[in-house]
Amino acid sequence: MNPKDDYQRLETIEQYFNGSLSVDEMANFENALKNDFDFSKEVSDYQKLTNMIKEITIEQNIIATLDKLEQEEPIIPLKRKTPFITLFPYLSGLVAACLIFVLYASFSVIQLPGSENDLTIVRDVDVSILSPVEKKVFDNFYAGQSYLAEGQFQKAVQSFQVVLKNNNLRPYFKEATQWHLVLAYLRSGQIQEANHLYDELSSCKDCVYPIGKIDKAKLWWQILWAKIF
Amino acid sequence: MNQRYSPSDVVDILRSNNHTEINNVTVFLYRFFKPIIASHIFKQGGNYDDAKDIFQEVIIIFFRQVRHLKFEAKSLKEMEGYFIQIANNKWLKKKEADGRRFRREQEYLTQKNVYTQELTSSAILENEEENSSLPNILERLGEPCRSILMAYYGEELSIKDIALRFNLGNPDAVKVRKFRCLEKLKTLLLKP
Repeated sequence: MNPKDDYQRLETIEQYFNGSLSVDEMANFENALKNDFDFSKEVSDYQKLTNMIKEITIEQNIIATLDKLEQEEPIIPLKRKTPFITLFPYLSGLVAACLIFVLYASFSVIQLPGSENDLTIVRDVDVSILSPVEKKVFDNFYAGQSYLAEGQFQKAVQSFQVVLKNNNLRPYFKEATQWHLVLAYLRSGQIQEANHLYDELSSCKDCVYPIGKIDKAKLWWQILWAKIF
Repeated sequence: MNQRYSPSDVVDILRSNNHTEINNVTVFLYRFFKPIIASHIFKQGGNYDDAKDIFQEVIIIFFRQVRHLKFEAKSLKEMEGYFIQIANNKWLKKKEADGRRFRREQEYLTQKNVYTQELTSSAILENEEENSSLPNILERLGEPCRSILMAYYGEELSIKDIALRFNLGNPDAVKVRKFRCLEKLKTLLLKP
């Protein structure tokens, strides 16, 4: 390659990349590329430089296009997740849990403490030697429980009321009967009576009858539900 | 226009110098990926401007990777993952830079005299880094050199068209001017 001057050399390099050199000029050029290190480096630098300019031009066009798009078609910011949306899975879980509890409280059976213990706890006596009064009280209590189990709620109410007419009942037995009566009132549709007695029993401070909290809550819920509907 | 491109089309077009097609691909990338990247940035606590800047950087990085044969994608999903990865890196860098800047400002406010020298040199270093990139060198080249080189090598316009577009008179004079501009650019690159 004969480097006439810088300008001429650049012209030739450009013609080489444009493919506009003649066959002889091309052979000459490629020969110089192989043998002239400085020239080869100059060609390589030219190529790198022009490629970079090409890329920058395209990059600037891309940025201009993106800017134009931002103006013409702005992407509407998505609303940030509100706390409600973020908490939605937890809230829905909580609602579902509440619903399950409501269903459970509404439809599950209320288990008042076993009556088989009542006898031994309240009366530390032999069942076979009960007095007629005592026997009447126990008979009515157990009859009331049976009526309750059989679905004869009005009869259950009557039996428990007979028991409570006795003024000499021990507190434990009296409370047991009263709780059973609440249930009997509720089942027989005497909601006001059930509610009144429930409130009375709930507010007592030295109660001895061990009704479970869940059963107590179920009873409260069922009375409330019956009052509303 | 809602043209859809396959990943290989995107790559092929970005590797070409077809400005119209590259423009169409850019529109496609914006419409398809901007909402994804934007919502990703919003989730990280960024705002609309952050999303805009990050997306622009993502596209430019993607373009360079494609041009330098460092990216091949088989599916748009893969491209999405790639974009999100770049966006994440950019977002983290931005947060780090914001944090550094904030700390520097705090230090500057509390110990103004002690750090003056250090701040100056670090600012210079940052400026140097910025200035040495080719787009900045092109800016430093000034007009009309920048426009002539970009029109000739970037847009592949003829000398005659360039002379007309920039009202530079005789095409031969433009040719000589282009040569001088290229030489000046080379010098700036060697000695920024």
